[in-house]
Amino acid sequence: MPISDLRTDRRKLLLTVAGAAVAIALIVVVLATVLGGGDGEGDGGPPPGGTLALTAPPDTSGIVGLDGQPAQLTPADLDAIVATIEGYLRDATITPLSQTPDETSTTQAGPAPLAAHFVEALTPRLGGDDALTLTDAHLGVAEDGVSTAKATATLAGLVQDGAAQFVNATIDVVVLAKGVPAEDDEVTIKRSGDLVLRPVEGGWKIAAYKLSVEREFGDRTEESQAASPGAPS
Amino acid sequence: MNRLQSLPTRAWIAAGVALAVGLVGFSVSGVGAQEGEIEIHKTASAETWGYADPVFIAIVGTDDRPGVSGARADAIHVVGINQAQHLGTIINIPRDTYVELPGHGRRKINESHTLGKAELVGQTLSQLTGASVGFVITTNFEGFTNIVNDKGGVDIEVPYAITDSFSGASVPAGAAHMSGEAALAYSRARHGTPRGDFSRTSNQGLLLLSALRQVQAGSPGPKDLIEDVVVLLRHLKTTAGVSPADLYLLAGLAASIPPENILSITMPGTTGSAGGGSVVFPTDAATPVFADFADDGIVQTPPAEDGAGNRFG
Repeated sequence: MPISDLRTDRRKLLLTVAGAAVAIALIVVVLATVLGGGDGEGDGGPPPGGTLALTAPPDTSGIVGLDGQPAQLTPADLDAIVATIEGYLRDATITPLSQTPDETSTTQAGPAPLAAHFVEALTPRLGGDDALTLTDAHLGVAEDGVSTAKATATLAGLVQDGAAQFVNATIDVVVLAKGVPAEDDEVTIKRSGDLVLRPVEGGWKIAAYKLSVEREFGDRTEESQAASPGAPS
Repeated sequence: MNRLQSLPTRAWIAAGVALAVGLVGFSVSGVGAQEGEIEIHKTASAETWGYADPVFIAIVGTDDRPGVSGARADAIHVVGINQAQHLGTIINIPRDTYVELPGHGRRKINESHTLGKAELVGQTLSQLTGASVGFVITTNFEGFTNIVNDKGGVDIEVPYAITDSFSGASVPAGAAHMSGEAALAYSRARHGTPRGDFSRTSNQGLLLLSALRQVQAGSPGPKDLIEDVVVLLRHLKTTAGVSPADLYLLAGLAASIPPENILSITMPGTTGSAGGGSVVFPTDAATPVFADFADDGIVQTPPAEDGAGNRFG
């Protein structure tokens, strides 16, 4: 084979490898945006879904043992508790603000995604008056993106014989939503209060809540509160 | 230092929490009680009913004490809590009320504890009122006395003077600060009252509201409530099914309704004879009161207040 042909084949191979690398990189970027990006900040449109992660490790200084002294949650319990808190917040605010109504079963087919994070006895409340405080589904899709400015949780609870019995999570979350239908402007959503979590069937679920929400629309602020029986006063 | 002295002074608030809704405040506030003097029982209906509004809790004081066997329910109250509306109601049931005890025929309601402990008390009250009683909180003479004493007494506005040599009560009308012993005597006084057993159970309701007022005075937050639960767990005789999470949620309930938003209503009834003794029969007026109470824990059209803090049907 002539040397010129060898050079041509090597050039083709390099181009092929480079092209594949670019394609893989593009796929990775797309997947990252779809599966994990979530906040949609600055990407010119709402992502089809997303996550909401705590912006700081949870403060667990309020966890005590039966002797009243500070105690530790097991890593498994802590992970499960945080997963429940983040899952609720994701399905309460990020998911409905990021998806079109047809894709958001929270608004189209009842509170099923939200209900997965609560004990069964609370399910009827999720679609009632409390929904205005528990979720942001009524705002519609934030066409220009959703981002999390703050999401913290302070945990207090009881560990007995090494097992966590219940946890009170005091949350403080700020979400920015741009381009919601009602306002076509940025909405700052401040959600705070207490979630009482208890172990249920191998996982953790919210057994009571007392939450407040402030939605700042620029020239006005809407406030609402909701509490279920047993939430701390 | 004995166990009572070692308890945190504020701890009884928590217990009170659990006891919160009034008597709940005292009954459940077990801080001063010895182990086993307070029992919280989760009824079978509570397993499926959970903590949806309304929540119904029975508060029961028994006459369990040395020399007395087969403890009867000496004080019986059903507390309905509607947290969404921040309202509640205490229905005071005279202990001699003659009703159907599930599985035992018609008897005085105070025998329900003798025959079936807290579970039968809960079943009987659920059947009588139509409200699904989820928890039954029980304490005895000693537990009640210790709880009140541990708190340093209870402040109450006594509507009329009572002197009852049988219970030992000797209380002038007006503001009073009662020790545990005095509060127990007051809550048991039937003689020297305008309406006997009705007055006694109504006065117990007033005592519960006074206790709740003190329980809530500390404005307990989550960490306070957890501390209270911890203290309560050390002194509580729980039955299967009552978890620390249940206690925390009960504590939250107790702390959530202002006493001024809770009405104390005594069951409409009339005295008579049955089974060889004096009893109380619920009158027709009790039916709409119970129905009004059972649907949301709130009696929308309560009987008029008699000027002494009592609402008799």
